[in-house]
Amino acid sequence: MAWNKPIPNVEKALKPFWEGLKNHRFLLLKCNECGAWYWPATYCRNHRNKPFFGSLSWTGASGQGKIVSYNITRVAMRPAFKDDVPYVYALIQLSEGPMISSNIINCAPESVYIDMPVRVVYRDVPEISMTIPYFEPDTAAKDMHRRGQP
Amino acid sequence: MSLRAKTAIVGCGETPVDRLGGKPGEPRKITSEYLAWAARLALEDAGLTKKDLDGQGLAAIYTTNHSQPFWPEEAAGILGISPAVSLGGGNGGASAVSLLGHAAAIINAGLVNLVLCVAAAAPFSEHGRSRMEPADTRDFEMPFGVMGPNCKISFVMSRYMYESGMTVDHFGKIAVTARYHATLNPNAYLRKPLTLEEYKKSRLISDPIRLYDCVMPANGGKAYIIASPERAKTLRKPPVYLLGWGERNNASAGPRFHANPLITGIRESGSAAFDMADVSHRDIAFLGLYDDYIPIIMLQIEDLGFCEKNENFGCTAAAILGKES
Repeated sequence: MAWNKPIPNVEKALKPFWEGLKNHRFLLLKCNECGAWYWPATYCRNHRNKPFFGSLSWTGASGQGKIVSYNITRVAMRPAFKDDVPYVYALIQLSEGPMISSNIINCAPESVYIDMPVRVVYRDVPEISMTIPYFEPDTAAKDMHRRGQP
Repeated sequence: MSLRAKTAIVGCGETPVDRLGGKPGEPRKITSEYLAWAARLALEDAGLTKKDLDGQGLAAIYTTNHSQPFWPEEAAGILGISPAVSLGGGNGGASAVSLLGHAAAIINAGLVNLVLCVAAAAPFSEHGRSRMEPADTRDFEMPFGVMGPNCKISFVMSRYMYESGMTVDHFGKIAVTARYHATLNPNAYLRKPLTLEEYKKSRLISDPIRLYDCVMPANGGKAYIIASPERAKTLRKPPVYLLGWGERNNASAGPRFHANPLITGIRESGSAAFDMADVSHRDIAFLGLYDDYIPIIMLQIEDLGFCEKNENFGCTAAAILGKES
């Protein structure tokens, strides 16, 4: 089936993230000085101005996290999503700290809840030569993640 | 340096709002027509002409269905004025208040003694020439079927309900109250009272956001003129002095993407405004909140300090807002 959904633009600053996904690796940025995690690129807030930007390295991360908030789209605005409703879009706090957002798949929308443990699902889409990161319930995960902000 | 009572609003203009122009045969006005219309109404209200604005300040709010980075210059061209200082408002729905402080600052610095602040949009009658999306929207929302702010605000509502225990009925009370206030405003688009049942029966769009939680796009223009006290005294209306103002952006100081949905920056900006004005909550007789989405009203009431976080929610909000239904 042809990919008719909007295609993410691969920004230079996030190219390693998208390349990692192709290899089914979930990469985040880690501060070279103190080990704090970030996504996307920013400066590490644990230091003064030096290093300001750039002393972060793309590092393999767990691809696991916990739902901070979510919603269920019941009315699709674009034809490409008409067959998907109702679908879940969630704000996810990754185990390492940063937040990311994606659809929660492989479960009934009504079964999704705040604090639900989730893990990344790599969906290869050859038509656009990309791998799109979705998330699904992480049934194996214990309730190990902390609620709230990093 | 405080801006307290150093500038005054001397005129304002508001065009009627409509949702026309999308269907064949409907009258169509474009953004520039609403912009010029609002500016003219504000000038007339103040007893000024556009000649008075030459060499003065223009604060133009970026219009979302028509976005281009040189909009303040284009707005000056549309209005046929020659400003000495141009400001652009890039804070979305907060821009008019944001620019109020910036305009007051340039007046207080002696650069100009009048500033026209103007905004207009015509989403129904004029489709965007070049709609620019922020990178996070384009790359991490649209590919996942996200529908603009409905979805972002439903993150706020979902998380808020989880943390506070606030229910759909509580949000409904706020919606009913907000609509009641609209019935008192001759320029409101929706002037029929709303019942709690109608609110609850409205369809879920981005669950838990339902239709009557949502911002309603409309065509229209708004403008105000702010002046130095000396200039204000020469004009026809009693000046309305700016006493306090505050602004805070990116309050969590984190990456641009995906901040905590309940952190608004209003705690900091509100407290700055109260401090500058040197007034307390008890002195406030009229509260003009940004009512784009119902849950956002609640966050503002709390973050401005009119009630405790997660306390009494809908009831407190309705009491603060006035009549309940």
